[in-house]
Amino acid sequence: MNTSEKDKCKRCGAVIPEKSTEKLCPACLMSGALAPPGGEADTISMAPGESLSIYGPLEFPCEFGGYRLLGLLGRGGMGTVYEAEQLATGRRVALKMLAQQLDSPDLRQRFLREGRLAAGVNHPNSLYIFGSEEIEGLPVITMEIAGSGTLKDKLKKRGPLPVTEAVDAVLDVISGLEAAFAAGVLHRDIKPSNCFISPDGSVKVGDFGLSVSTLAKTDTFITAHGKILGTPAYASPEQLRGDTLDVRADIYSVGATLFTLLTDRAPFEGDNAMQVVANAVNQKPKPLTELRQDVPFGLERVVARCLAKEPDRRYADYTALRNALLSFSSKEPEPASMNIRGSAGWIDFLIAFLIPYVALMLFIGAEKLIAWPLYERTLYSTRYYIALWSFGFLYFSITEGIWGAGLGKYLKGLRVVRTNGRPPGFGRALIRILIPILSIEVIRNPLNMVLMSDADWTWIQTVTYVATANACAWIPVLFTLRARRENGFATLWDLFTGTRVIIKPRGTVRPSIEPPVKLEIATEAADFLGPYRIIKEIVPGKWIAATDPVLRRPVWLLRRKSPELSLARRNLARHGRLRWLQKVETPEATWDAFEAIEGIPFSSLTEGGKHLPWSNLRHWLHDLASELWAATGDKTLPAELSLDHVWITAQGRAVLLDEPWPDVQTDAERIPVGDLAGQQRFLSTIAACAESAGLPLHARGVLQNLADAKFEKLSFLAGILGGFLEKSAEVSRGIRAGSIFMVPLYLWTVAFVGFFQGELVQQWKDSPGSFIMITIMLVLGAIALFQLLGLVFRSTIGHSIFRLVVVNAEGRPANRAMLLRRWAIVWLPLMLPMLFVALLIKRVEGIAFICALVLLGLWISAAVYAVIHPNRGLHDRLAGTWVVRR
Amino acid sequence: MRDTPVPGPRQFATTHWSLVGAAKPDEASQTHAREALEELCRAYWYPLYAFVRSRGYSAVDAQDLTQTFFARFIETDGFASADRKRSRFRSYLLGAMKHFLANEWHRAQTQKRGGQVQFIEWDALDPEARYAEASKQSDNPEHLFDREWALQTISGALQALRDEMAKTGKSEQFDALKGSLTGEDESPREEIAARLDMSEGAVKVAVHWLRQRYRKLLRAAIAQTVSNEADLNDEMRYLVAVLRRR
Repeated sequence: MNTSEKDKCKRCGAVIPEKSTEKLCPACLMSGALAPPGGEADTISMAPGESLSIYGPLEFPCEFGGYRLLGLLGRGGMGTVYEAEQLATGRRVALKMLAQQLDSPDLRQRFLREGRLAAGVNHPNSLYIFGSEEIEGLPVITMEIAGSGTLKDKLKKRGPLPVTEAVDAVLDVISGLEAAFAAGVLHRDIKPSNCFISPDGSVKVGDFGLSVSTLAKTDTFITAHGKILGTPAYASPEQLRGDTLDVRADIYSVGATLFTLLTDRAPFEGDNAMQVVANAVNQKPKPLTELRQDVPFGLERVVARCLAKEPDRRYADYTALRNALLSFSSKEPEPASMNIRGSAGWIDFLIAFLIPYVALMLFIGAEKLIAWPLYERTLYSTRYYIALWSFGFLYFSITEGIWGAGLGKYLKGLRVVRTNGRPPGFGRALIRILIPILSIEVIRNPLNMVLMSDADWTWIQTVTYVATANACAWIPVLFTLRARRENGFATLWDLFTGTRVIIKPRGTVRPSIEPPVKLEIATEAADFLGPYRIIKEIVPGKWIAATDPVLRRPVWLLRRKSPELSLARRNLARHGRLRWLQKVETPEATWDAFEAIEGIPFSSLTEGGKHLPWSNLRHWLHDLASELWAATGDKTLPAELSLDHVWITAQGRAVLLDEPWPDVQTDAERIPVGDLAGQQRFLSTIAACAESAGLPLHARGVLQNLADAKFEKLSFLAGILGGFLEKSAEVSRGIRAGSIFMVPLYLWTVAFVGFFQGELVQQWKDSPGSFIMITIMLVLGAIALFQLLGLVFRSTIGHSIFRLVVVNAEGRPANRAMLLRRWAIVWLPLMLPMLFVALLIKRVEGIAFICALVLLGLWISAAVYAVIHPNRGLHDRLAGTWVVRR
Repeated sequence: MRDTPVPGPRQFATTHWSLVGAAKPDEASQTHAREALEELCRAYWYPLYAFVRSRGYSAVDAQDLTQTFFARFIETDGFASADRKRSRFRSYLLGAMKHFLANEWHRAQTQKRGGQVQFIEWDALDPEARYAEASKQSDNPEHLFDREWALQTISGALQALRDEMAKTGKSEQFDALKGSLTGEDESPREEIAARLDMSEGAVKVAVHWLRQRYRKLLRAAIAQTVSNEADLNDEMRYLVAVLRRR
């Protein structure tokens, strides 16, 4: 950022604007007003960049090996951690030293293993290990320094954290641990003092001192001397007992950490370690809500589940835990729009009411179910009718009341919540469904009774019955007319029960890449370059793949062309760039050692002009935009970039290489990225690799602005792209199937059952086959007509429910002429022959039936084809259109 | 807030945001609510403008879009059904703007977007100069919006306080003592006392009064955008965090 120190508040570090606040620090002005009048200030001390406490017996600074020790950061179970400066590189590191009194071959082994295990983890939420060496006979590990203390320090200073802040911190911890687990490492000692805060507020997991490889599960927690390492208050019961451990032991500790962040006390306490252990193994933790009132009930359940004594009853993996926690994080819940609610509602409605309806019709018959209540009008005669509705009411009140979602809402990622974020409960969920259903029934039934007096059931009655059912079904829609984005799309039943339907926040999943060649670890005797074992010269004399034999980590050695790398580049600790490890000097040349990350060059993904799906590319574009922005800030950006500078890691992250990847021979254009226009051009080149036809409409505008170099800051673009990661990028098969079949299926079921019951009462049962066919044809005819009318709005019911849009080859919404052509391709081949078939029916019913069946089969196959190719069905191919996300 | 009336247009029996949602259907109440809303929107047009600009729209387009956004929402009573229990004015407005931009883009881009409506008088303001400064401070459109929002509330309260003191001829006092509003006095009291020709005790009292008054004004301004006292403190904590975000 372009702010000098003098623009910053000396007290809190916030930026002071030139105008608008009288040259006073706005953050202090705001926090000052938080203080109640005359009383103590409300403590919101969150001073960023707070200096690390320096205490301890040593005098600082002092030199130690190749380091200058600047201060003591803390003492852990196994050793002491100092803040230090690496003299050769000027890099600030945390230097961990094995405590001298603990020095034994066993512990030394353990200590070095920490380095090795942690070195395998490279994630923004995990402290990075730079190296491991022996200084003055003592093993040391050098690692990244987080800079702003630990969560324990934060607790000490501020007391229990606000709910969202605590959950955000734990979500970071989970990401770090997940990466560790993916690298085959169990942490085993997660607690607030092992979670380090970086200046930007994110939390990093550190201190892998007790970690074990997931392969060595029986490694016990208690050492041979019976000494307990670590903090028993955060260790799982199985860990305390010395049983076999898996990821769920770490999940327990994550839960215990969250418990502490929320209450400022450990879940189990005692006068001495043995008592804590006894309590942790035998006792239930105190319910969170007893210790703190503002903890949402759902969050209490999440913590309780993490702290379950039996591993089987905890979350099985980090994804499940993250999903459970996300709704309590600082992300504000997004209200679900009426479209998405409508489509989810139909699915639930079909399950809740159509299933019992069809079942009752088949087993009881229409007469008992429908005609009796109308004619007899006694409570006894309505028993089946009541049973029908009761099933549906139970379905809604149980699923939505307890879990916040029935199947439909679950599939659509929606949740019903009370305004305090909790599930609505049985009663509220029951009222929620009673309101719309009763509003239909209290009008429909009297209407039916008036219109159908005690005369015999004829076709007039049938038509009346179907007509009133279909007309009254719209009544609840009236109660949704006041739903707006600004009131959380509140319908009458939402308002009445104090509930809302929200979109459940979800974490974004990156597309992982299967690298064609795994990075090797050389163990056999091989040539050394400095401390590294050479595996392969990717480009002889220029780019070498090698291994760090101590940490068993792959590295790349690049021959230095320019003078010294800048200090900023050497210290760079961002995910968008390779970490620089050290300089290696040989008589012939100087080499820079970088960490090597498993992955694939971007240009090999686009070889032969191949285009990439937006769902993948958007992550990379976001990574690169963020990296370019950050690199411009600290001046670590290479002068020129090309597609060959982009490396896609196995975890699906885009990394910007300092030099173009040499192993592919492409003539990718070098773009000078010294200015904003050049940077936007580079990003636009990347964006141009997107499959343009599948590009969602929401992305198109932004990419156009990018192509026109309209952004004034890349961070803005990065922010917008970050927002896109939350949106659906692709038309999935399920969505496409829903948009094609849902409306016809619903209409057909209603129409069929309506006709069926009328026919049954009349005892007219001949030829059910042609009867089914006729109803199908009628429904399809109606749909065709609807869609023709929909051309006025350039959309169809199915498309608007599922947020789809038809675009032309340029990716713009198709115009009406094009849509008309598409309509004709879908419907005319079905409808015109059908008219002919209809004429045939009177003469040769059998042939007509077969003809209709064939035509219908063709139509359905075309629809199935469209589901298999959700972006482009046969009709889209013929019409030159694509279907994309809005 | 009620015991000492706050002078100026910010005075309302209840907070603006809750007033908007709670307006009774009678005409007087509706008009009252709409006026309150218009005033609120005028106060906070700039953070939205900055947000639109940061999404890559040109200055002219951003003016046009912000103008149309407010005009359309006030015309169509978009706020009337606002659910003030759930949303704060700030997050509501941002959400509505995002929604508006998303839909606006789909409409023909060349179409003239309701430029005839003059809701905000641009001539009197220089949004671009302000934006040029603001865009240096924030990395992401939403952060920018939040930050500008926070600055807007503070500068509004400071301006109100300055105006108030100017009326009673105490501008000089305000300038001398405003440093104390951040909760820390850097300049020595004796020096200020000498400069203002006041006793040290009087300076102490004046500082105390100034802080109290400022606190009231700022809290009143923010209270207009939230629905209850508990939310008010939450919102303030949030805005502190926004301002300290780097």
